[in-house]
Amino acid sequence: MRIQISVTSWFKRFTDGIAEMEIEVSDGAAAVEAVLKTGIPLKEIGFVTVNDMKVDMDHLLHEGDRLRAYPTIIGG
Amino acid sequence: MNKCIGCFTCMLTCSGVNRQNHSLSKSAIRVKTSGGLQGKFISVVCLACRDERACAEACPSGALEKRPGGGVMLKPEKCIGCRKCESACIVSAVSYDENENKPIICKHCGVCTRFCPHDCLRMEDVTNDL
Amino acid sequence: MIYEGYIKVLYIDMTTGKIKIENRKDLCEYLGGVGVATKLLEETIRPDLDPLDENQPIVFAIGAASSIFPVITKTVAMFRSPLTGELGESYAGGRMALTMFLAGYDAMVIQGKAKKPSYLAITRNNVGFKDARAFWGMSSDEVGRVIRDREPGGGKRSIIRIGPAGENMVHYASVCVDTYRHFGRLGLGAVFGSKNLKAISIVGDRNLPIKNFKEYFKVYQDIYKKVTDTEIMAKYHDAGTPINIEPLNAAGGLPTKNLKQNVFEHGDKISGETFANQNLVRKMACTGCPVGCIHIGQFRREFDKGHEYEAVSVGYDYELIFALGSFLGIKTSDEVLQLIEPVEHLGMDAMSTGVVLGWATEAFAKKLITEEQTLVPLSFGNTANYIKAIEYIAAKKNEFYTALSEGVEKASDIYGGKDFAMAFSKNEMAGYHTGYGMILGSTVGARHSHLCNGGYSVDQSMKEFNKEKLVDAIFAEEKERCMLNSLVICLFARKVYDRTTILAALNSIGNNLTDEDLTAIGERIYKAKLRIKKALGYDQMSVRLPKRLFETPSYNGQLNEDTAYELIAMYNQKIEEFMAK
Repeated sequence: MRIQISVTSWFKRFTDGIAEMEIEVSDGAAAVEAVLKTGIPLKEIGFVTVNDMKVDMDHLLHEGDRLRAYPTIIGG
Repeated sequence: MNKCIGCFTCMLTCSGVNRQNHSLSKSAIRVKTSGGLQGKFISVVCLACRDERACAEACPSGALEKRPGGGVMLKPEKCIGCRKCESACIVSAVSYDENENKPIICKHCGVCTRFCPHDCLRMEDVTNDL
Repeated sequence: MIYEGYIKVLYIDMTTGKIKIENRKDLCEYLGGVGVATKLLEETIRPDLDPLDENQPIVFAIGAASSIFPVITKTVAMFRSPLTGELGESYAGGRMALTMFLAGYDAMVIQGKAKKPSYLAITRNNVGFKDARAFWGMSSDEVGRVIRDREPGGGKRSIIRIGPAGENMVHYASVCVDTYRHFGRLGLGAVFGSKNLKAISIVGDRNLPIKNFKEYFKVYQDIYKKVTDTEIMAKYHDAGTPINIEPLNAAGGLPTKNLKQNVFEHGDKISGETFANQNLVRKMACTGCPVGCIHIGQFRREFDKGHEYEAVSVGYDYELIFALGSFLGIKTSDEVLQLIEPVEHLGMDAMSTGVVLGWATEAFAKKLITEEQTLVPLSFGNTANYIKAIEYIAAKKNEFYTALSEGVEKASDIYGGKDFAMAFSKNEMAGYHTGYGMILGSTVGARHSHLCNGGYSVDQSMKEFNKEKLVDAIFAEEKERCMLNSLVICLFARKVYDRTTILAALNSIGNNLTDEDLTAIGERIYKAKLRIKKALGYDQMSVRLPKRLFETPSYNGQLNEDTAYELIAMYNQKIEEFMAK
């Protein structure tokens, strides 16, 4: 199945400058599988949203879902 | 130099490598602000003058020898600490080591460029002018 | 002192104009930085006197490896906080640590009060007590400029100073260090003001040969490589901490409009990306830091009719965008910068200022206070009126603004609205409504700051909420940071400076500490801090949390008040056992 992925600006350094992409994942794949395909190291991921809802990385995806990856929060 | 963030790593490593000293004052390169921190950063460093070297010309004891490609080399045993090279350098790239009583002369070793985290400084290949 | 077996302390008496130097061997077991400062504070603090009494001390300290390794750039200040009445601890970068190091002082203790406004000019062989009468009333920016012209040592100099808010002893007045860095939190600026101390200039130009160059430089290079090659630090340089706006807003952790909301509808207009695209004009670094996280933003201001414009540059960071942005409902990056500017020039903590104004805005809407008191109507998003209110706080314009100048706890004591007065133990909240970690961490943290133990970070990384694990994590981090801050490493680099790296650095300069020593040092410091807090009358169990924290959902969903208090009690139990050991 195909899903939409968008990433925030910081992640573009891992995705050849691409902020939005459509990728193929196996049916019933979890969010983590889709994220791994973007090339973003998992430790860089703070959390992801699917269709604008914050979800865990083992959340199961459906055809046409919109996944967005956010970086970890930084500070002192 | 517009990319300079003023971290002074070039100065700290120059002092460290060339003078084995933690002091900023021993560095042959100096990063300064023009007009406080709101002004621009500028670097003051030996321009490696070719053909004619004002500092060497001013030296009365022959302690500054022409370096192939530009600039000079200090022969400390010949230096009498008169500070004439310091005033002869019109870009103020020669500073003075008050503890050693010798000028601080850039060796063009490139350590500052190796430790510039934002690529403001670089080394250039030059031909021998001597 | 590096290579020496003692800590060199400079005591300055503002009343008599005399100084004293002590080489303290006994302080070495506190390593440096916050350890040494805590001990010196414990020796000189006066629990019986008001925080702004002239007999209270100001302590500054640098660490055992300050400035000679990358990103070990900070100076710690300790004092009795006029905001909380208890432990005051604040950190600043800039050039101060390097200049103290090369002037030859590990710590400074300033006591007494000058008869007239004064500034100190500190060099390696002199301390000058100088006239600052004509500087009184100047903005922190302006006074920096005049001292720059008067004092020698450009390039090897640090100038730290207060603005009018510090002179007027606003309880969260800040001290500006080298234009773009600050001792921001807990009111060090007011303590300066109480001593008639406008500024300190420090020149560091000492000759200091490296003892074991080969060993030292090998470790230096390893750390430098780690700092410049890894993604960990690149993020701080890239868009910087404002990168947080986007994830916090998406996850519902961005305190907005006095935390009535956890998501800001205009979040994208004040995101790190927006600032970078529209306002960012420059990045800078503290001395010895190859990262360069200081972000300078610019906005254009019309100062007169007839197309008279000026470009105004101010530093920005995540916390400022939260406090003077989302928390006040400010909708554009330009307007956030417009609010940062007066806060900067008047010399106040941006976080406290924003949080206090957020409370005032809601209290005004709820008619707890009137326009007669606020002088201008306050409403979320109204930048022009907030600028006026900021000026009124700094000037203590009337009774109401005097109350605001003492913090949100004090103001809500008088006017009500405690449930939405967003402070932890009297210290205004930071910009992370992330969950129990943040609430517990800020409440129990020695100085009630999110920086004491990084509770927001635990909220983010903890897979499943577990009370014991959370309490343990906060406790462990609090102790670890006591050790890190004794060095004084910039906390942004805490992942670079793991124990192995710290030991390699210390060992290369002849300080042969072990891993166990570091643990012991952290614990020793934390105990000393807790002793001071106790002496100042602090009681963990009497802390009340604002109800708003449990009304507005967080990054980790809805939070429960009872759970928060239970966590505080568990932590309290833990430190009681710790102190009894």
